[in-house]
Amino acid sequence: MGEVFITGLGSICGLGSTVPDYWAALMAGQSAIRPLTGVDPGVKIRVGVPLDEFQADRYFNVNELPLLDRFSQFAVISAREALADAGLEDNAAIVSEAAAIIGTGCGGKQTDEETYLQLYKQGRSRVYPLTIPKGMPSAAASMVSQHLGIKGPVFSIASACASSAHAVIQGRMMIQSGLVDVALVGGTDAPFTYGLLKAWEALRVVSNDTCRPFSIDRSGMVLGEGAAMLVLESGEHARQRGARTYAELAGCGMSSDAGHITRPDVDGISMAMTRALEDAGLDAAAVQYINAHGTGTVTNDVAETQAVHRVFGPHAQSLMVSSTKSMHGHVLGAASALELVATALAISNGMVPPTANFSGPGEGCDLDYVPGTAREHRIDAALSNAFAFGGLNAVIALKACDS
Amino acid sequence: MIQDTVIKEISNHLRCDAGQISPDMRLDELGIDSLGAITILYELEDQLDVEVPNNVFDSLNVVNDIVVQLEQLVNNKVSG
Repeated sequence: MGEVFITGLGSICGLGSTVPDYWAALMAGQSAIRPLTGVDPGVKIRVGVPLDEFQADRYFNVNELPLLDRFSQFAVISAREALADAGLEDNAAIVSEAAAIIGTGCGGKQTDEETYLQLYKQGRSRVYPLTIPKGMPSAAASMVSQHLGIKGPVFSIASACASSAHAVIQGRMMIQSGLVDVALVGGTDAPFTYGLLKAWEALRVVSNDTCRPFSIDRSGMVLGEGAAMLVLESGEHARQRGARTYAELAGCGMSSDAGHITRPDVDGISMAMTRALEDAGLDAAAVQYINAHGTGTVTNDVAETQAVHRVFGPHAQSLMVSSTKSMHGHVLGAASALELVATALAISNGMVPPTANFSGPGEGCDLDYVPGTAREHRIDAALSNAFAFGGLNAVIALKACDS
Repeated sequence: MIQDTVIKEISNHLRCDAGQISPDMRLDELGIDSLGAITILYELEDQLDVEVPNNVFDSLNVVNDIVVQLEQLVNNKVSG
């Protein structure tokens, strides 16, 4: 299979509205988890990582906004940054031939919920005419295509919290098959709506204070919002145009638990990690860093730790395993792309982002979680884990370009 | 009283006869996983107009744990 490289990065989340801001916050070990403001008092979830100061009109013309749900806005903003970072923003010849595969866990819920509020509660009998094209789960993919002039294969992928990892994998497969030379891949979500918050509240997995992955007193996940995009490029194409490369997208592993709808399964997630290593041609001992799924729920963190032991054997004790969700929250369909951006930057900068809020190892959590402070360390190979509700697992292996 | 309500709700959830459920039975023995427990509590919270906090939820392992917890919440509501 041909080489695929990451040549551009874009992101917007509570840690920062650009990749440099995001990375600086990760390196500072700075958690953006904060009290939610402006939320209906009936919502019991108290904390999150919303983009409180986000102003859509700083990024879009007034006449563009009627079709842009919040999740589409984040997608377009991070897609623009990723293409510019790859040096492709003015290269219509390359961009128009590219693919765009965008993951989302929720879709355009703000649009949908505003509509339902008007219909069911306010007694209106008519709705905004652009409700369908604005709220449909593929709206973000369409808006990215339209705003950036991407005319190759464009569609959306939904696999809950692994959506953007599956999008990355799909883009890599398209490049390896020869269908496209360049793919913009990633994910987006904007889950701070009344209905979604109430639904997360009912599931009893969201913490009421903060997200402390792998810690003894961890109390659940914390929701975030935002988007992250990566430009993937075939080795030949990247070399021909002299593109800067962050890392090689060396391997991917997918599996499904075919089991419990919310509880992660050690067999299933071990299989995804093993397949990613095999696909990348990596010995377990060659990996130094894992960006964990690390949600901070009781069940995920133990299962993930067990799976790391199973896959890596004695080498597990030498691995650095951190959860950046402790800082940017769980951005659902954008989470794995956001974390892959962090993993690629860890490789290219030789710096490992920490697990913030770590308060001491929980029972069954005995790895090096890089607590509190970023660590300087050369990374030749790393994994980024994503384990979604529904048992849908996707793991991505990156290699340093000079390794 | 609350015990009857809890057992009735569990039997509704499991679609079995209430006589097959006793207070000393473990939820996992009954085939009730965490999602099942969330669903049962959701119905009971509605019926009794109380809220079981998340930090208590994980310690509800036996049918009687739910009964005791709900009795406390209902009593607090009356005395409060």
